[in-house]
Amino acid sequence: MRIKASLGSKVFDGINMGLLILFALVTIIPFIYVIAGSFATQKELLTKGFILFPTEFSLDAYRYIFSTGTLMRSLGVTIYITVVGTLINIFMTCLMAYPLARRDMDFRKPVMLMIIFTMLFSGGMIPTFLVVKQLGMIDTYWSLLVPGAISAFNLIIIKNFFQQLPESLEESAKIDGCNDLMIFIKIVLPLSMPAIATFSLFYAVGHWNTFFNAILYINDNNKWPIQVLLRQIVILASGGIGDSTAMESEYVTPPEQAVKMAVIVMSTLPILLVYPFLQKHFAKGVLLGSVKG
Amino acid sequence: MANMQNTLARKNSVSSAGKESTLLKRLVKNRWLYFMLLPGLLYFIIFKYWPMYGVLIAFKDFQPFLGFLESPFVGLKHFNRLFFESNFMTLFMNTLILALYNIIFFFPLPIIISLMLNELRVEFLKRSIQTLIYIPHFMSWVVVVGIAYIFLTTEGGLVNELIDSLGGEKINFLLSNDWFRPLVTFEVIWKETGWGTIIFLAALAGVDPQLYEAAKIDGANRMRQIWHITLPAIKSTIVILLILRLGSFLDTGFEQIFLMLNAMNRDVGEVFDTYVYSVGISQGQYSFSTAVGLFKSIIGLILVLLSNYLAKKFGEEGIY
Amino acid sequence: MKKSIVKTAVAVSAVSLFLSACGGNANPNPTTNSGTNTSKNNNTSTSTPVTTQDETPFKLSLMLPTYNPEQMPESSSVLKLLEEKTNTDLSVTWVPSTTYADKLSATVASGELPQALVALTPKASYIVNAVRSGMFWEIGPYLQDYPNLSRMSDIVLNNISIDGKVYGIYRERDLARFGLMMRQDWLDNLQLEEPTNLDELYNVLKEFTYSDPDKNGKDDTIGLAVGMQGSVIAGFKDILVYHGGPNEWEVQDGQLIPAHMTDAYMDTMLFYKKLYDENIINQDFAVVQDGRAVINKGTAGVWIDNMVDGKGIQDNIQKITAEAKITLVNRIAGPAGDRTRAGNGYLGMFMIPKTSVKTEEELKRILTYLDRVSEEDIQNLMKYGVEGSHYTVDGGNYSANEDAKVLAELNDSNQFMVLQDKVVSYGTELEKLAVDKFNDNVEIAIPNPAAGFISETEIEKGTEISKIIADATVKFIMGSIDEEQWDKEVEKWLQSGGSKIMEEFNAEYAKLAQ
Repeated sequence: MRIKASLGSKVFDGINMGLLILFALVTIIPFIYVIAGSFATQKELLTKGFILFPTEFSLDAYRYIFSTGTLMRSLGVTIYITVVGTLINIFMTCLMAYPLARRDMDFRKPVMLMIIFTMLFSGGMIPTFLVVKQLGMIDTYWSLLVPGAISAFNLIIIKNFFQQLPESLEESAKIDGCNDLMIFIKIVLPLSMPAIATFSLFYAVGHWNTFFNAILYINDNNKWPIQVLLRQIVILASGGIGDSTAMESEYVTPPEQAVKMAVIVMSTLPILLVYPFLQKHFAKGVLLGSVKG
Repeated sequence: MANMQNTLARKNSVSSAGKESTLLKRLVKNRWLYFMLLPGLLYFIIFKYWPMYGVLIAFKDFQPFLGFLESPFVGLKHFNRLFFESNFMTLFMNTLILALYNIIFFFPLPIIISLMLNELRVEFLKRSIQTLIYIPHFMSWVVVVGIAYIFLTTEGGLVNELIDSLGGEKINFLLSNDWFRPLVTFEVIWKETGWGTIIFLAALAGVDPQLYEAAKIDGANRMRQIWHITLPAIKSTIVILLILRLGSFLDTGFEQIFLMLNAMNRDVGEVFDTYVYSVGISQGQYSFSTAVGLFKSIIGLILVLLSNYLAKKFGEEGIY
Repeated sequence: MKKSIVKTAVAVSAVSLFLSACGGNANPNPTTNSGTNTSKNNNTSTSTPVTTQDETPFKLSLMLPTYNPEQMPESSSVLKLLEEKTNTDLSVTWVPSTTYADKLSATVASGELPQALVALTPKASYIVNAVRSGMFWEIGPYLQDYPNLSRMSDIVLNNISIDGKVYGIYRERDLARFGLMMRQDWLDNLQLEEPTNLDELYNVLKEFTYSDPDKNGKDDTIGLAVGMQGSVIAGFKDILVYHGGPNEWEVQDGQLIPAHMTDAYMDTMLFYKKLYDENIINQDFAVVQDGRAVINKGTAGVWIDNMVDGKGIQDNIQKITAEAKITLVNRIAGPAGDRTRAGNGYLGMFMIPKTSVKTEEELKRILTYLDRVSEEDIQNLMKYGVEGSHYTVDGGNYSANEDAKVLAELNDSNQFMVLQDKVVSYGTELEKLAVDKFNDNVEIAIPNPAAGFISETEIEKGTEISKIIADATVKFIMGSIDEEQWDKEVEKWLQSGGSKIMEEFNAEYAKLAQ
């Protein structure tokens, strides 16, 4: 029986859509400015300030960025650590989250408390650095992949998602003779795709933004990920703010404003393109049909 | 119904030790679970607990050269400095108020927006808006504050030019005590709301559409559907996120505030994170910054324990 | 689908294991093996037992800050030439300037230091403490044995000394580089002369604001571009000195007093206040992070800072107004005549840790390297590169090679340099003018009398409480506090540790006077 949408429902839809479009516009406009700026000339950016479309089109900024091999190389590094890193993250996090989601596991509470504690209290930069050093990870990519393998925050939320799955599913799987690991792989994971997609995205973005850890743990500048390059450009182009040694700083010609913007576009675009692919995992009714009576 | 019975049965078997299964038996029965737990446990022990002694740096005068053991022990010296020598009350109030603004004005927005997105019937629109609104999350604060400057400065800033042309008097947004907090909060809303909807949308994906059909038949309008079906589906996620947010209650985020601070708004703008930076990191004084961090963490811990307790009282699953 | 995910994961893990095994060995001295045992070294040092005529190049590890998005490639011909001339095998760890302090602290904590590192802020507490714990070699006594190192300026050596001893080789920068960068074309349009004193300066600034110097019929110009540098107003310290004020500290009646407690400071604030009230400076100066953006727009007449910026500014403005020209003014006479502010004279210093350099012999070898770097040929090599490859000089006109890849070989090359006094001056007219002005400045530069002293309170709290004064200065100029309230802020500074700093500096000063 097809229910006809009422008038009230249509009005609701209209207002809803209007507000959302407005919100989307407000968030997107500054980014349009950045994209436009990356194709603009220094002159236009200085005189006009804010533009949505460059009147004088210029590819200089992009040419500048691509002129050396550094951008592509660091992009390669970043892609590598993002892909491998995220796989490690999801594997480790989900694997640990499932036992903690099971109510029949004994040491749930103490382990949870232990994890929460690490969220609030941390040894700090130098002790962690020393641990990484003692494990021989300095100047290797492992230092960027392993120390951040599990985020307590993500772990807790994923565990929460696992907990919301109906236990009857696990029951019936057990009756069929599955052990816990198989239940995890064959039932829990597939049904948790929205959560896994979400946290893959979160972890991936985290890796994509790796900056400080790279400088700390990696001495060989050939192994630096892209954010090191980008931050240098942005900070240099902004007159050196954020430079704590700016008291008597070295004189460098600041890159043009357009370069700053091109850098932002370059560093944002790839990760932006990933999300739409993950969107299909957010489809509704994933659980439909799995619970039979 | 069967579900509940199963759960009850299971709970009974767990709590009545000695009746049905001993600890050892349960350990064996759940051995796979413990195997799965192991790698993560190792991770936390190695990378979180092994360096944990660093917390004690707060009670020493840490010199990187001397190392942890050789650095002199100074007891509560850094805490004294924090509480009595700095402008502690001002810092605390500034941090507190910003945190409150954040929880009251920012926290609900991703929820509301995700609910609104969930209601969109036009799939294409829904997907594109979703993709667009989280773009600001990727812009660094340096860029965001730079854009704020372009819009809000009195010297040719867009907003002020608009006000001027409408006959009003220009407002010095960036150099004012009054506008600092609303501005900072607005910037966070702009930057993070879209990103924040992702988690809720993931939670909403698990809602059975048939429930909506049933509700419509019962005569529920859109708002009631949201209230009775959609919201409950994400309720536990909201609670968890709120508790976690309270854990980092006094963390305001350093970079944004630092960039927005100037002589005219420092009275309301200086927070713990920026204070620590000006005193600590740039001079390499790790002990002091660790002490301040410790203080913030303790407050956060108290809030987490408290809110978790309250959540359980209201029938929710806490985080432990 | 799951199976394929698993397979992919296994494959990727295998690949990553393989990759990290290959690229992961932390080899502190990679590739560059310039096995060329060169004989080109002219070893001019006589009394040191260690010579550079070794057969094998000396392996030297350095930690240097980088100010460029891209670092000097290991294959750089400039680097190779440097190694050849100094008979070394260099391995450099580059660290972005913005995170230098943290990286250095972590490296210090780990105990694995390079043989020579640059300490950008030698008076930072962790450096001072490390020095006092005996981590670094005291280099002072060795300097006289080296022809170039012995030429280092006593003033600057005093500036970098800790507890009266020299622990590092400073990296020379021009002593006094500050001045005004002014729109020559505007002066011409309004038929004005370059100002030579404060009154004339005020006049020029006013004319720049109100007399339409860019002749476009619009009232859209200001005299002076102002921005913030951290919490300090750009150019303020220079105007202060022009008003007869001190460079940070001043000796009055045998006592050191800080700049903000002098009369000249108040005069300077009133000067800026007048400019602010009369709209001669940009009204939003307190939020402008980089004042150069203001003058680059082409609507401001003067920018006060390091005159080396002049060329960059001119280039930028010319993109908007082709006839724009920048001239440099470094002498503005005030009540005390022509004065200018001396900078520190250095940017960071090379320090040599005892943990990685265990013998005196090795130390001397490193000093030989640093001495050799200060020879004229290497000074110019690191500044300009190789003639014919990186630049050409055609009848006195210098032009740099435009190829980005070639230029990249010079990235951060000046980080290697120690002395810069033998650098040939090429460059455009403006750049040559800048060099002339720098030299002229040296005649009238006034130093900071407290630069060599260490005050514990200053290290601990200096930055924190200086904000009180910096903020009050801005507020006074913008009119939100008056003189009485200003005095209260100074009082607050004194109470919060300022008076202790004065005490400690004065104690050091007294010791010196004996």
